[in-house]
Amino acid sequence: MTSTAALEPAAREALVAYLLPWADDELILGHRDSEWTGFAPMLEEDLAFSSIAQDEIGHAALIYAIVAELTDGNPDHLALRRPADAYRHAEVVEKSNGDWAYTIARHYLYDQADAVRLEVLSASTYPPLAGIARKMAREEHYHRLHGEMWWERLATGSSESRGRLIDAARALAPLFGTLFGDTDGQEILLAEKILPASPASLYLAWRDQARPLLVALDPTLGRLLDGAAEPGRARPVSADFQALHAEMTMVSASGLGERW
Amino acid sequence: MPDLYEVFQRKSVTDPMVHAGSVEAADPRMALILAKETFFRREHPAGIWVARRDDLHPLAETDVLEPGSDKSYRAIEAYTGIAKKRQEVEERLR
Repeated sequence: MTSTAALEPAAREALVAYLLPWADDELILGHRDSEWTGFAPMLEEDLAFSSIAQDEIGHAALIYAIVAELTDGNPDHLALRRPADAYRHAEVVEKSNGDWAYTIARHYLYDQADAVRLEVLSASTYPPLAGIARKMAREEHYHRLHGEMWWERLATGSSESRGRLIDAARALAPLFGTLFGDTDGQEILLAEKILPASPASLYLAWRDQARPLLVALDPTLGRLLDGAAEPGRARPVSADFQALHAEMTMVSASGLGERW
Repeated sequence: MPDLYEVFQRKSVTDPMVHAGSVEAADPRMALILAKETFFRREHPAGIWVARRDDLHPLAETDVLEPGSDKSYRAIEAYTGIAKKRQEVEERLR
């Protein structure tokens, strides 16, 4: 067990470098999901998907809270007061929603990545991290059931829904490697079992789950997963993200205050 | 095409199932998944069921459900105080 006070500065820094991109992933995906509020295919789904979006933003808040403690910062500022080029989310979560098939395929594949990560992090020697991982895993179970249901429905519904799902999977699969890139100083975290497994090994575990899903849709999709995990999080701000960032930070930047 | 599903819930495993509402869904699995967030975002029931509305069979002749002649003798209320009455009779006969 490692208490926050006992963390060496280098371990602190490494932990922040690992956690911040993950928090950004959860926040940006949650924000994209929330864009379906009012527009989902049916009322019941509108409620379900809006709730899932809130869960993801809630998960981001849990991670930002740890980062804030480690850096003596403020979780709200971390989430909403950084310039667009300071975010470190993976490209896959910032992409525009596209159609429903793209949204579902992204979320379901991401949920599986999250499940792999949360299972490992639940065994972290850093108690705050193990604690939030277990909390998040409980909600993620529902997300996976929801994703599996929609994936199955789109895959078997009609030739159009299946075709759209295949197109989405083809576009998305190659982007998932950057979710599992190495982060600065991660060897310190691995040595102390604050991270019980390397991101690269999580990527392999995720691929084992994703591959059968993709191959069942279309055998040629399997080879899209042959690439390695890669860093790739630092990149120029895209027009898509610029627009998302402007909307997401609008209220916080309006000077109306942080408390409602 | 979606069907209507009726949703039932119970607070604990020993409570009876109670109707919660209905959802539109393509199959029972979808109905269950969507019912969870449609009705139970704030409540946390011990279990939920869904049934396709078309699989439920309402009795059309609701008039037979109404009472005809006096059937109060079938109601529990008609038998309140029986123990006391019986005791009085026993004492009188002693």
